[in-house]
Amino acid sequence: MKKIDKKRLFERLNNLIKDYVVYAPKGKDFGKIEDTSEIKRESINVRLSPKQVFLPQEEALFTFKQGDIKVPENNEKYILFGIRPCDAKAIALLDKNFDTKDFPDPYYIDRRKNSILIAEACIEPESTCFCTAFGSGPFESKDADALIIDRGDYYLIDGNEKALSLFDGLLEDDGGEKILELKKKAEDSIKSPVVEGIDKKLSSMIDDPIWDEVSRKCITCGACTYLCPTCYCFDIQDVGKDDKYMRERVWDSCMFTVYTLEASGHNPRKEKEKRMRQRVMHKFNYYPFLYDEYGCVGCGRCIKYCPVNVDIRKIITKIMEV
Amino acid sequence: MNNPYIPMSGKIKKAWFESTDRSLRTLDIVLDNGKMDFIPGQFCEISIMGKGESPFGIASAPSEDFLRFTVNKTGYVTAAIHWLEEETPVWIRGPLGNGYPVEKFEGKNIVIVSGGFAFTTLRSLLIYLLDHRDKYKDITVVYGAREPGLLLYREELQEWAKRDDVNIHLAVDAEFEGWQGHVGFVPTILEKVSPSSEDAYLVMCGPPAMIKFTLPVIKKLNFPSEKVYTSLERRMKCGIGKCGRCNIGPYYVCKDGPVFSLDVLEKLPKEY
Repeated sequence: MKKIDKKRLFERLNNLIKDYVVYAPKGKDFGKIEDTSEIKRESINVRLSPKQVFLPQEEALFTFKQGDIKVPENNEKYILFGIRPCDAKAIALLDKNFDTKDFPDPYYIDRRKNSILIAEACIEPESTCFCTAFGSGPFESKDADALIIDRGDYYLIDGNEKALSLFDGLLEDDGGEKILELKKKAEDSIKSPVVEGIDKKLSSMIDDPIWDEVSRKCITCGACTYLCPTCYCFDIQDVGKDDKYMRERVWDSCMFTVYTLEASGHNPRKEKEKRMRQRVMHKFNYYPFLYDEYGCVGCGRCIKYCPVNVDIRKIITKIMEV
Repeated sequence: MNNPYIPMSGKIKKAWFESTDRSLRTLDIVLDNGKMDFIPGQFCEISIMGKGESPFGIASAPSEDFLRFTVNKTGYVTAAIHWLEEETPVWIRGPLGNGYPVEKFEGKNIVIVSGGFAFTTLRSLLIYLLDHRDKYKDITVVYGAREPGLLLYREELQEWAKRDDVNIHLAVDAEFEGWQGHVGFVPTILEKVSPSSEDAYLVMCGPPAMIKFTLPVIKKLNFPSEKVYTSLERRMKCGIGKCGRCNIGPYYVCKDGPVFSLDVLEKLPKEY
């Protein structure tokens, strides 16, 4: 581990904004910054997750004008500064959907391969955090290019060459500082539900009455899926007129009725309990089936921002009790 | 990197109303950059720029030099497709999906059961089987519609009916002037024809009501679930297993389907 002076790090980051598009926590949300003075957190983890960098809420797949298709070019390089370890893990999970052998998604991959993820350890996790349920933790470094730990005037930093080379000349010896206790304290403060075996269990719960019970107060607003760092479902729409169109990819949500509504009027997931089942099954049964990992990272956004207090941890606990 | 969202350009060579009620229109499309390789049962996304994209099963066989689609006018994109005239440029992505397991079918008897306008990819399959006639044993087709004018590809059906290497059983729901085929619903006719399930595969595509009442007949004829195949439809967008909406359990209808065997479907949520 190395040590880096905060002031000097921010100076360097300001210089790097010339060559990189830098995203960081900007108060309420995660967003693009022009200067490091904008970096601010209103809470331990910000509301909008960094998935927007790789899967923007809307983006053009191509434009169409007078019979010609034009694909937008993107040569930007990105630094994601101060994302949380849970969000870094979420990006690794998004990779599994977009960076596939059969149909690699060029828009996602182009941005992803030109990105450097700098995660910041959570010294004081929030009450909605439950990353430890999924084998991760507030100091987890494996899905980011670097992990920084806030020590007041300086950060402790560890990472790969790609990330550390950004701070060439600024890295000092850490003087043998131990973080074990800090890490343990953070981990111990997180109260996670037990999830072991939930994937297998859910396989036999397709027709369980629990889906009606856990979805009863849900107003299917979709906030959970928009804010979820691992939710990636999207719609493709054409916009424009005359002979000038754009085919856009926009976020979509399995919580919406129109998501699966067919032109004939038939809808296989018309009832909201079916849509809630889809959301839970996708994260805790289908994801493990396909990728051997849960599709939830325990960031807690869906709990914190749900307007009717649906708590995924309680749903997990209920499932485990069936 | 190949961009899977970019459609290929083509031209409509022929377009006509397929059914007497004008709800179905068939398009024969030729791609600008040569023929498409595909397996019967696969589908394409047809784009109408500015309106959107929708998935349609390929009704032509790999041996034909055009791509055929029969489109039911039911929504925004399909209405726009119905307006397309001959020689209009179109945009197509595909082939997408898995297709029928034609290699697994080799050396077996094949029973095709269909109703209404779901016959599209089965036309593709039937022509494929006839193109490779020596690889397959008996071929039986049971195909019904509400009335004669709603059967797809009527001229071809008549031609196939004349052949002695395929058993074609056509049906309409009720007596119709001049109709000489079977009268009755598809499940009833299937039971009457009663094709042997021995050494056989059955492929079924039709409206939900037909499927519902045909399944018990299939069981009665002793077709095991793993030898019954069907093709599913769902609302789709990307067609490549990324956008999320067409899943049934952990499988995507667009990528892992649209063709599934019954034994696989029996273990999944009934979300179709």
